[in-house]
Amino acid sequence: MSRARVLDLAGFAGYFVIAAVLGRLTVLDGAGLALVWPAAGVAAAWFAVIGWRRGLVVDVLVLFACSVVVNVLTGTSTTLAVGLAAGTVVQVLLFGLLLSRWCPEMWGFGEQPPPGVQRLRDLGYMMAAALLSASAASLVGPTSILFESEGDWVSVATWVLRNAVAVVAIFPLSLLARNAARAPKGERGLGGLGAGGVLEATLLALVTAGGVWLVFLVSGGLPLPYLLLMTCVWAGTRFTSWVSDIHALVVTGCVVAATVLGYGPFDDIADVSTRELVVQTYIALVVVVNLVLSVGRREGLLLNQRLARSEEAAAAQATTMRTILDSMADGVTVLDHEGRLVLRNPAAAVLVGTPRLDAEGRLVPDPEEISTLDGRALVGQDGLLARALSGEVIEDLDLFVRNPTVPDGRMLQVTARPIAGSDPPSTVLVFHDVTADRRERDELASFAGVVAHDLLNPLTVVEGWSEALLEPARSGVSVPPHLQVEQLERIQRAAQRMQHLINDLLAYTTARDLAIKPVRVDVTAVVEDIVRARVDAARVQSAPVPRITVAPGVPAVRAEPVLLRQVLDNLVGNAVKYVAPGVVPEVSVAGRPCDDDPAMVLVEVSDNGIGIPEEQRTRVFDSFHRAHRDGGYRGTGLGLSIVKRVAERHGGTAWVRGNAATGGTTMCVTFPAAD
Amino acid sequence: MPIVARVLIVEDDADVRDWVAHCMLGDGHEIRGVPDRATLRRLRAEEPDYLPDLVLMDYALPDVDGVALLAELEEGWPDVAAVFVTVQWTGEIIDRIAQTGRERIAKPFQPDDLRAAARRALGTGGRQE
Repeated sequence: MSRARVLDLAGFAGYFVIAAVLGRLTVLDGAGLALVWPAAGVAAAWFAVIGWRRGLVVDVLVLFACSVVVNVLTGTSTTLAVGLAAGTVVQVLLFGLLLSRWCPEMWGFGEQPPPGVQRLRDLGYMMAAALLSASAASLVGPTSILFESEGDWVSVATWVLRNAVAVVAIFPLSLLARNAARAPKGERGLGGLGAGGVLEATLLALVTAGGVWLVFLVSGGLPLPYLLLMTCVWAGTRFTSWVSDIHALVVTGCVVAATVLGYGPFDDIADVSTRELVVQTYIALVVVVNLVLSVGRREGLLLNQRLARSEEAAAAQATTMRTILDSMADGVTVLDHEGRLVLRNPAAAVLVGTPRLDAEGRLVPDPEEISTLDGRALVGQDGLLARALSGEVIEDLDLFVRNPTVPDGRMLQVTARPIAGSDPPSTVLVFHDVTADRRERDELASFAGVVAHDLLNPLTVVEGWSEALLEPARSGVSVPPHLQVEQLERIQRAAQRMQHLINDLLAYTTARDLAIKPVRVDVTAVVEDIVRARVDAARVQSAPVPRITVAPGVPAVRAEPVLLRQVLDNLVGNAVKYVAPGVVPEVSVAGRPCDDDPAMVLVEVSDNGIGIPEEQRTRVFDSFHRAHRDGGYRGTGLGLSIVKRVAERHGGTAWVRGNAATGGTTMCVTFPAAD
Repeated sequence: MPIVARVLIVEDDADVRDWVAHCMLGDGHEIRGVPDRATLRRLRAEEPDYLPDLVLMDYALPDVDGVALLAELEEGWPDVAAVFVTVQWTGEIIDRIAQTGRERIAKPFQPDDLRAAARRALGTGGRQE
């Protein structure tokens, strides 16, 4: 046996002996049994700690021996002492048997004691176990003795009640005490005094003392003990199990002491056995009232705590959900079964616009606002709302939305599904903005197309005409030089076209990726430089020399010089290129602070070219879009998308308007002003 | 013996058109070329009797796509033999071309492949079995 075990055993045996001696002090004159037997409760507490483990027999023997010794030393006959000791042992073992079946956490808990009796159900089982074990044990010890001695059935009943009450009174308190001793600091659970605090506890003590005084000392034989029951109700309903259990023990002690010393109404009962039974019944009532009320209170408090915790958790979860919904980029809308708005996050308002509601708060679908990507209106049973509210699960439906809040329109991927378990049934709709995705996808498709077309066509020319040159050369046939020149020029032209496309693709990437380090740039100087290069190029190619003028007073801008030059070069280049055959390009560049925002500079490049049809004026800025594919104007369709991208990266924008004076075009672009 | 035929080349890139023509010349065909639908319509208006035996058709034309233009041509020239001479395009366009039942030659092409496709088209009326 370990040292701790020996200490434990010695400790419990010591408590048992003290309790047994105290019990023996309460033997009434003319009675064979003690009035109370706290030792039975101590024995239950002792065995509950060790439970059903090997070595139990040692505890049993120690318990038996202590019981016999105390009884014999306090004047009990050896036979009766052995019988009573046997009864105590049998009682505690039976109690353990029942309790470990009904409330396993209360038996054999070792170093992890439960924090007292926590539920009324457990209290009920514990009391039943106490009563049944005491009743059964009485058959072993006391009853057998009854037949050999002159005892009566009343004293057997008293023995049963006494030993049962001892367990009921002491066992829960022992759980509390052991739990308080073992629990880590700060985890006392329902420690403390209870609702009223120290003041009310003091008041309870005073009133109880007053009650004891009144009932046992000054009542003059009046049957007033019920007055003390009121203090038990008080203790049970207002205080923790600690206070209530101790209160029960104190009242019990007072009742026993007064009765033993010959005070109070119980002392007036002439027959000792009857007196013992009445006192036992009274004690049982005190203990049970205290325990039932305090355990009930405790259970209620625990329930309340759990409720408060789950309410807090629900509130926290709701806040988390709201924060997530408010901060997410996808639009979320929840509708009830009649189409009334239950919830909508800010992103939904941005993506879908302000919803229209009818008089009853139902969402009114507008077929003009939501359509399929190919422009088909969604009406009647095809309508998004009608389908979603019918309980249909809609996955990744692509829709186009255009309304006053979203005038440019958006491509949205919509998911709708009924919310499982909602009552009344509701539906959640999630809107995912795919405008940029789709635009990028379209751009990529256009890019593939442009690369296929604009690289493979010249490649065909290069491969084909070099083949045409090679074939006669290989077979030694001489081809007239002017034919050779013509074929070589075709190859050269094709190579230049490929080079242009590649240059534009690189410029397009640069416009997107180049880090912008804005500095003050003199627009006039840049344009004049571009003009010189254009004029020189035209002279070299013997093309008509364009007339390009720069209006005076163009404000300086803050921009990345490389990108600004690219923008101006593209605009001037377009203005020179897109003229009717035989027309000399006339281009004018002007600039001034923006009317609506003086912090921005508006630069305009006007030409006398062939113009851009009204309906194409927004689309010309799309990547790879070409307004004039017919008519022999070559280009990659990237120039204006580079212009717009660079302007937007500087916080400006680009647009186009017709040039009424010449029938040509005025390209407008804004950049931040330098000053 | 190659079949001598009237061949119409519809191709907006002059250097490519000339190269297609150059490939077909060796077989002794009578060759004409147009860059787009507008020019083709003008040709048909000016020469209503002109009826090609074979059309070599680009897909990406400035004012129309080749499949639509072929459909327009078939109204006047039913079952005209045709071969599409195009760059590799998207699956959707390849499908559209396939639905016309005409053969497709991808640019850049070998002259022999073009000539073989042309001969097959002329032999079967242009539709693949």
